[in-house]
Amino acid sequence: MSSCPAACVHRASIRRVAPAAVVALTVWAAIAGCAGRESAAVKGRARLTVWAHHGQPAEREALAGIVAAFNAAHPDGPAVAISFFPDRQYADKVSIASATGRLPDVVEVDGPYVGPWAAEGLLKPLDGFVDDALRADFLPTIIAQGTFQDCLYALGAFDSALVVYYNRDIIARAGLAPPEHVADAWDWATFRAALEKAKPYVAVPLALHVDEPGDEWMTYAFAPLIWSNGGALIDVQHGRTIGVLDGPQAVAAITKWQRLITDGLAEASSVNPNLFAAGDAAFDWSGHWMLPAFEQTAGLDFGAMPLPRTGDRSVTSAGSWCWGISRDCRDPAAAWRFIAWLLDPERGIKPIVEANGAVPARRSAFALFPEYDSGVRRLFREQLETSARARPRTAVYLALTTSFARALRDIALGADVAAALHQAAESVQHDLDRRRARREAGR
Amino acid sequence: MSALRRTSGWWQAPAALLVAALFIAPVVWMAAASLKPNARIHRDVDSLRSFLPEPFTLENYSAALARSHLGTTLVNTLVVVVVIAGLGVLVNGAAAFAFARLSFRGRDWLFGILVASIILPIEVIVIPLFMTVRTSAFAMDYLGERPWTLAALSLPFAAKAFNIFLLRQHFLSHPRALEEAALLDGAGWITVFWRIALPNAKPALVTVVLLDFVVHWNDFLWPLVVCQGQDTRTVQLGMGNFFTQPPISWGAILAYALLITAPLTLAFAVGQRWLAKSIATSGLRG
Amino acid sequence: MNAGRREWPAAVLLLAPAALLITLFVLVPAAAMVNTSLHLQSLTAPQTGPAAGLDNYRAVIADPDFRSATGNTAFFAVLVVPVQTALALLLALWVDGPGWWRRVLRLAVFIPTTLSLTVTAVLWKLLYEPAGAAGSGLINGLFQAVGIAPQPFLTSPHQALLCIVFMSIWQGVGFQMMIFLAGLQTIPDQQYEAATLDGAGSSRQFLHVTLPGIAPTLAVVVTVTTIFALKLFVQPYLMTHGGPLGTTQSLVQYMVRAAFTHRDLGLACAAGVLFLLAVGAVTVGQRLLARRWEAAS
Repeated sequence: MSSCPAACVHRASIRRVAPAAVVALTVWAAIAGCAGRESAAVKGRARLTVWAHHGQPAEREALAGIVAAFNAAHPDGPAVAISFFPDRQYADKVSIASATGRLPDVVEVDGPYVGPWAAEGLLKPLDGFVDDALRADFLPTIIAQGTFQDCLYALGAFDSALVVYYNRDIIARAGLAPPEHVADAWDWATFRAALEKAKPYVAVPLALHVDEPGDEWMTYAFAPLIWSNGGALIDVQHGRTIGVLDGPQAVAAITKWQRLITDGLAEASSVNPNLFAAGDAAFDWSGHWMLPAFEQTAGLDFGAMPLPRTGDRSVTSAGSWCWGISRDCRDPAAAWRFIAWLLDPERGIKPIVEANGAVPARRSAFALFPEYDSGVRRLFREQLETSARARPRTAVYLALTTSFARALRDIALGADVAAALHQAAESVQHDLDRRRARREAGR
Repeated sequence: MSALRRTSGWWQAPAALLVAALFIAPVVWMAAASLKPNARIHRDVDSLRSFLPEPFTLENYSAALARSHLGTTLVNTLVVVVVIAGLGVLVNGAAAFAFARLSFRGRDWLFGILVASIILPIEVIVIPLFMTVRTSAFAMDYLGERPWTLAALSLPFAAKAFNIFLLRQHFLSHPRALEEAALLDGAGWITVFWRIALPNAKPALVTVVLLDFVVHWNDFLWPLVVCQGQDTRTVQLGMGNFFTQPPISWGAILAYALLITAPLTLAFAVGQRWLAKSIATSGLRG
Repeated sequence: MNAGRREWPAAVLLLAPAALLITLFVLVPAAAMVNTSLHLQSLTAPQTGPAAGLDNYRAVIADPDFRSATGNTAFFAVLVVPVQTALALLLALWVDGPGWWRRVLRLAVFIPTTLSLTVTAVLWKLLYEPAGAAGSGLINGLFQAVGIAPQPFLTSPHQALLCIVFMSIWQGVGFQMMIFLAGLQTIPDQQYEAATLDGAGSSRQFLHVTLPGIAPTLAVVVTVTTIFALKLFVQPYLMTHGGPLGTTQSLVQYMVRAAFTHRDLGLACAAGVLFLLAVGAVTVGQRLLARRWEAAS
């Protein structure tokens, strides 16, 4: 075969098509580009840059609304310009920005990242702006998660809640009566028995969301099992994970968790990320952020109970996104004005909490939310006041949460619990030791 | 004629169609799944029905557009790719021409180093490259964040050893008569390169432009490291927007995937024959 | 030619832009990588940390994660390179020629290469979903429909990397096929005719005409595929997090994790230097082999 004639024809047709293709592409891009342009309202003013995580669409809209209100109320000050980042990339973005000295003025911090960011000097302390009265108005978990080595670095407008949702229809058919109060939380055997009873009525008794794309869910959702059993993820004081993360309490608690999956009471991976709303799961181990979606799901009658306990008492997670002033901020007073606006019960907390279903972070804010007196939200509030715990505040939190999440993913697929946790403990210990070496060599 | 061409058994056409169907099936499934309600995507998997967009809906596409800032990411990616390819043509073309036509001391030595550096994938030096690029972060104050990021996404990839190599092969294969006539007329080397060599190298230039287009349209790791602000992201990073808060909508993800693939498929469809041809010949003469 | 003319000023002018860019964005980073690998440095510290000799290298080599990442990457390359190259050559031989069905096959094999790795990874993650009570991925769904037992795929430490190998070949083979196809066109028809006159069968034609004819193309394809395979990142990053049991963690992923999760630039750069040496050794080895083979045939 001679390829030449075909190639020549082809060449001629390319000459005709190629410019047209380029024009089409450019026009498409230009049309699409117009839709994405920023509003011109804040142009020409000094800027206060703010970074926030993506969250749910409603949450993002609420935050944009708060920013607009702030900018309208402060025509003379710097205008707030907010950028949103996908949750999974957010922490990486901040480390990279910090390495280039390009942090925004105000950063949203996921609770457990207060430790690493404060340790690396990315945040300025807020103590100068926060008096005792204000401090006392916040939930204890909020103060705890924002505090690193006795300084307060971050405050949030809301806190989170981790519960086990249940489907009332299925519960009724299975003849179960889930507890309402933390003190009455099921022990592990009761919990398992309940899942067994629910099994005939659903595809999967319990949704655990083990295949969530991010790492943080794993630590947030399942560290409470270790805490409830009297264990810990890390000994912050002595900088140790070996013997802690792979200690007997942790191994025992996580073994119980693994059996849920290996015994077919929960799934390690699910094609449907929202089994519970579809009525395919009786229980859903999940956070407050699913509450608005569940409430809007037609035909879903549900309630929530505290996490089952692996030890003497039920422990749950707390902590959520909060706000801090970055090291690179040149006008901390202006930054604080914005944070104070975000934390104001009426202007900041109310709109954001209405959008994301989270728990208001200030006691004075509960007056605006009568719904926290009953139902699922009452449980959220009760947990935060009695049984919730912030994740450990340590410089190596990133390594800790990645390693722990990796271990749990493997354990969910049947790996040996003690070996997987030991590997995670070693990996974090390695990081701790190298950090110590760097610090000592730097002296 | 190659070996297989003569052995034309009756089985060849059906066998080829079967293999073709297997290759194309995932893409067809992706297109079909993007056009049906989310809840159905994983329900219909046990039959050939999963390859039909039934019941038909465009809701995934509207969700994808609403969530992805597609316009911004598309503009960014296009700018990056155009800068890389455009600057690349000039810079790599000039270097390739020098290696092909001029004799100067150390030429072969220099060219040897260049060819060796082809094996250095960006993925390996992504961390130190980031360390290098971040030293210019101060320029963000003058340029603005978006232009700075777009520059950081494109400038490091304009000069490319592989493209220089490819273009040099092309110049070597080209007759010199015209160039020598121009030189005798008193034209300088730069003029010869700009007026004669470069315009005559169009097929090879199309090839390197297409290669750049493909490679950098699909860049993921470097933008992941460099992009910060929302308005600086590229199309591949835009995928991250869909993996934020649960529940994840697979339908919207597939719709977005198809939207960002379309321009590339178009570019490929237009230029793939040239691409393959000049890569293959470069190997032959190298 | 033009012996009398001084050519170096023009050469400097023409080479300068490329030289500047390559120095700035390849050589300087490569030097910085070597330098950082000899120091203790954290990601967020702006200046270089204290000298550490070869400590970072010792730490990397002792790190079980690095070893398994090296093993996984090597395994991936060892499988992908020969299989993908052979398959591409086979397909190229098959689709080379007239006939509408050849054009159909050519197009079908080529279309996956227009998907980015990001898109491919997300698509195949869905296809590979294990069978569960609430539905399953397409492959397991079809398996069940024809009576094959469902497979865990990405959730099995024995299958996950093979799954990634399979989808990577699916995505990449079309490009290699096109290059082979072009290489085949450069073999003059007379050579085949001569071989036919000598009474050579199709297998002997392949060995004595086709293979030597595309040998240079083959060398390019193997080198490019090897480099592509060694920089494996997107697939495990998006599909498996490097799991299960670390069986899909790749070297590039290890480096990114060391730099951005552990914020340990010294460690990341030491891994990078080792990686670079390995890539260099593999490529040079391949070149030498190819040369010996060419000389022999």
